[in-house]
Amino acid sequence: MKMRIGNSKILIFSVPVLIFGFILLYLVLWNAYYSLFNWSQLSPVPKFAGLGVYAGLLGSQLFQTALERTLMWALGLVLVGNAMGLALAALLYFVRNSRLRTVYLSIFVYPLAVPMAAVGLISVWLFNVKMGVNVWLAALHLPTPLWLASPQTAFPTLFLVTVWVFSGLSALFYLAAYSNVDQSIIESARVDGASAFTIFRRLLLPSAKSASIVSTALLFLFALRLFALPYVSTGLNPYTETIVVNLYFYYISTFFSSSAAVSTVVVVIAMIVIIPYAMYGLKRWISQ
Amino acid sequence: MRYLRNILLQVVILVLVALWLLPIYLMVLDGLKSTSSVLLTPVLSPGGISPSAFLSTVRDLARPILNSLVVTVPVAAVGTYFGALAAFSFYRYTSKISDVLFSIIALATFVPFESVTLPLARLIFSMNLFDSYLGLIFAFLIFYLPTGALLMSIFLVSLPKPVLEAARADGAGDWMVFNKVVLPLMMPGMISTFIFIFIEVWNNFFIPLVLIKSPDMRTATLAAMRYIGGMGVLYNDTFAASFIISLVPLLVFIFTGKYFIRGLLVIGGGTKG
Repeated sequence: MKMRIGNSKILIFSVPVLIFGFILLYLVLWNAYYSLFNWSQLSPVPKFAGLGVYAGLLGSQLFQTALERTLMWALGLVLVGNAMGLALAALLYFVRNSRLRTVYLSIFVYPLAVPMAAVGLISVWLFNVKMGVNVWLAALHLPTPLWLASPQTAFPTLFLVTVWVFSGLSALFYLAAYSNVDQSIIESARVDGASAFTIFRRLLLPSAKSASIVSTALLFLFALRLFALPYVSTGLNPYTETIVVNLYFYYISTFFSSSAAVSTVVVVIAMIVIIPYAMYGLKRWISQ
Repeated sequence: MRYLRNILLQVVILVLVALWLLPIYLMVLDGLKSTSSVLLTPVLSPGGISPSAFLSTVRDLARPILNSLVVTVPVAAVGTYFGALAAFSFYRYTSKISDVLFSIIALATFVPFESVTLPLARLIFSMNLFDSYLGLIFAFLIFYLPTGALLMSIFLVSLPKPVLEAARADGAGDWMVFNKVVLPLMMPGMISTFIFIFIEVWNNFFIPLVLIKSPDMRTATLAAMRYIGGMGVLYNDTFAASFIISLVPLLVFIFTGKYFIRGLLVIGGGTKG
């Protein structure tokens, strides 16, 4: 239940945040407006072009690749990140020693604190074909992929890196949800001889709904914001396999209206997918 | 049987933990190799030890780390405090207006910063703040004030309502209630929000890439780019530099991670009261 309606004067408290929030919306609308013009360093005076810029973009091979990669990355991270989060949280849930559990959880979450630029630098060398992890794989007679050096494996390699970075955060939310399950129910299930897997499937998993909303919203947000990792570890050359929309945008920033259009596409994707989702989830908490 | 299963659980977790600690292992191990041994030994294997890479990169990264601190601390502090203030006002005054305003804040939180580069750069340029601390701080506030307000709104739900009501009944003004009652009660949430914004801003690579030009103004993440090396050269520096730019957010995480995690657990578990 919400509190009774207060004095509207208190909205003054939100003014500093609102000012900056409106600046951001202004920037977004600016993009949307100029994406309708023909404007670049070659034609410095903006000329109205309607949806012409968008038509041009959709026909561009590089943009198609970038858009496809971004969506794949976002969708993949939501699926794999959540699955890893559910699994890691379940493993941690069954660790009896609570201090040890906190230590493990911290280890799974800490990659979030490592700058993506640093993750990119390390990835370059960890996946170096001659000096990196392949040395160990070869010693164990396992296959030695080309990792970042091949167009086929560059994208999956960086994707794995992002799973590594973000699934700890997802695990944290799920562990919180599991911990809310009544301990006595779990105990009685144990006494009845239920296996850990049954407990996970029947008792823990159903509790994870609200955690999955937060986890999904954040994973999606982080996936859309990816820039430093592909920029540092592969750049635009020699392959466009790991290109994401944001990189493409950087590449074409001399073509003002095209980049404004790309930006608008990114924001629209973000809004279509995440806003109803996040709002639905948030509303549910806040009106609890 | 249960004993065996316990051992299996521990083994699986330890393997995962090792996998998760691998980058730190690499940063320390290869950062400490000498320039010659780093070229001869594989990345994952130990080699000759020399502090030279760490010493030279620390010297070069001191200024960028200072730059990052100058920008990050005020953004995190302002974002958390004003975020809490806004969250409090939306919470206290429930109406159509505050619902709409809250939705705008939530919307703003989810705009990827890359997508507004061009207008943002023009705005900062027209304010004469390009290539300056103030410009960076201003740009980050555009993104992280709404984030702060959204996070604090979520934490605020866990606040016990009777306390607020009691404070009101005593005739305390909203300003008093906020500073004397809400802030102390909200400390765990404030700390979580502060750490989240701190880490996000510190690690941000894109905004300084766009808004900073002179080498003296580079932030830590931006300065680390020059250590990427090429053709197999300089890579003990690469690892040392990665370690050094990660150190501040990692230390923040290690020392305050307990509060950060506790705060996020509130979000994940939903509220009970």
